[in-house]
Amino acid sequence: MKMTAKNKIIKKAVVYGVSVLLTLFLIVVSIKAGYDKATLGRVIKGLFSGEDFVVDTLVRVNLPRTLVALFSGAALAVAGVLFQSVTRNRLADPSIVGVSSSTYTAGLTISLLFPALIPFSPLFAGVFGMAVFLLIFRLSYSHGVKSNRILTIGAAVNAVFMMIIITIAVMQNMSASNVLLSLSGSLAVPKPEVVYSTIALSSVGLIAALFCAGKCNILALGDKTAQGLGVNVLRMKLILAAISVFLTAVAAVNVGITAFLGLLAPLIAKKLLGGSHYDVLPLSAFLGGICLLAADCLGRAMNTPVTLPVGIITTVIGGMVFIVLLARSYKNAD
Amino acid sequence: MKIENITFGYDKKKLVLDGVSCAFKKGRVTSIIGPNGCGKSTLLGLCSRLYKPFTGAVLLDGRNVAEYGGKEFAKKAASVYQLNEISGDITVRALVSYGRTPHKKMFELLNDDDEKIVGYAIEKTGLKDFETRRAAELSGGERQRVFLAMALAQEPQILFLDEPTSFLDIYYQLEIMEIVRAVNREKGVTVVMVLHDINQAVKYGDDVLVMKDGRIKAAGEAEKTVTPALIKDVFGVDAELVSRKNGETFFAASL
Repeated sequence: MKMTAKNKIIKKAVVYGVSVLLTLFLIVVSIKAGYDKATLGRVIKGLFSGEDFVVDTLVRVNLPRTLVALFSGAALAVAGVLFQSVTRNRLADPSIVGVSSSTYTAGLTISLLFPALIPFSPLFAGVFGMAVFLLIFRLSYSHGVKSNRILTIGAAVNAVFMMIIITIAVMQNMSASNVLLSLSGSLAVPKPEVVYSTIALSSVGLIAALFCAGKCNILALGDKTAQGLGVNVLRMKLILAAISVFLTAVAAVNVGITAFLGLLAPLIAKKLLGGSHYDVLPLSAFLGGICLLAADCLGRAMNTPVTLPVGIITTVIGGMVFIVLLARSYKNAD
Repeated sequence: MKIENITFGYDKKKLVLDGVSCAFKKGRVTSIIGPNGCGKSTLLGLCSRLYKPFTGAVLLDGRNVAEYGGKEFAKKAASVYQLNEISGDITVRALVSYGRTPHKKMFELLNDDDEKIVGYAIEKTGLKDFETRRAAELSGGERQRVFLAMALAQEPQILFLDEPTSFLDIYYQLEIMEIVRAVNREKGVTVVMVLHDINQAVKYGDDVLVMKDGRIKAAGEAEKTVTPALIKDVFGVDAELVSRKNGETFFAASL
């Protein structure tokens, strides 16, 4: 199938345009959520004029949550893309190999023992997550990383950290439902410093990831070919992994373990715009933000006694879409 | 390129190569042959810096390859492997353009000279009609030509081919071999290739390097070096030199 350059540009413009509009739309919906009297029109008007008292309150209450969701979603999605580049497995996700759970463990420990350090917990969690990742990497390394080995060893590490999290929770006398809620991602009103640190830290990670787009493209050709083109494959993989772990840490500390997002967003992005990381990385960031924000809006809109955690919604929806995509890709392979 | 007394193994206890020394002559095509597991691909991997030798050294232009920077080495040496991966909807031309990577800084775009070199590589490998096609849709033989073109776009002085034709039909095998020879004659690129087919190794190689059990059995000009006796010794088969009507000779082998 031939694809003219012009068609490609139009397709790109449409995809990015729709993503931006969808993001803006969800921001407004998210700000308005939980207050029926504020119509969409009123919120938009209020946002621009700044004189609507009700809208002002909504912004104060809901904007932080909205921003944290957007940036965490983007961080998770991009972390997924990088992780798939490192492991050369498009089904790899930081939540599968224990990176999410280990960073979450670190975040949880800090929030319990050193609450003053909470705004910096993504940093500590990132360092801890990287140490864990290096351990997994080392264990699965023999003449190049074997992608399946990293997944199985990672799964074992993940199981260990899930048990540690539960142990900490039990020792703290947390109720089972509270543990589950925070684990599967809650976005209950975050403190301002948490909002700032999330935005700042995930932006740093996202920009760093974009700088690696070209290298990701070359790594996609296989380790040997990449090496032949002058890329230091091992070093590059460690850099990508570090960025990925850092981004995962930022998201995990704030919203818990949101499985599937790092898988789903890149899959959709690749389906829409093809495999070049110059497109996959930014588009995944948008899609990740959109997915997490949409899941959070949905969770708040449903009339449940407790707001449904985003993690549950992304897992249910993401899981279903994922299974369909997987089944289809097997069909295509036949 | 010179290889000095190399020992290497994938496992510390088991050596794959044990004291190998040899040289690949500039501007010539050298075929490496030998039975499965003799270490021929491993030797190529050491030359192209995929692995580091335990002892000994690989020298390119008199300098240990371990001392070269990644890009610096990639400007001088390019490799094509037997299996290649293509993901996404990248076009043939874009894929071949990756060959210019070692010549460019991180965000530097391709200029007219680069495009010319990429164009030459595409032309030489007969991919002109496929340029705008998605690389993932191509057949095995066409794909292999894409990766050969990518390697040519690196403008290397030495080209390593690791069983580049093993999974291809005979037509595509010969096609790749003809391209390699043409590039060698035209640009003077030194070629080192690991091949399975003894006849192709002799026909397309100026020199051969014959290996067995991690050591070099014989080395020298292809037609003089490869004899029925050597084939019997190395591969364990009876071979007879047969002449075709056009004067070409080949080995017919039987158990």
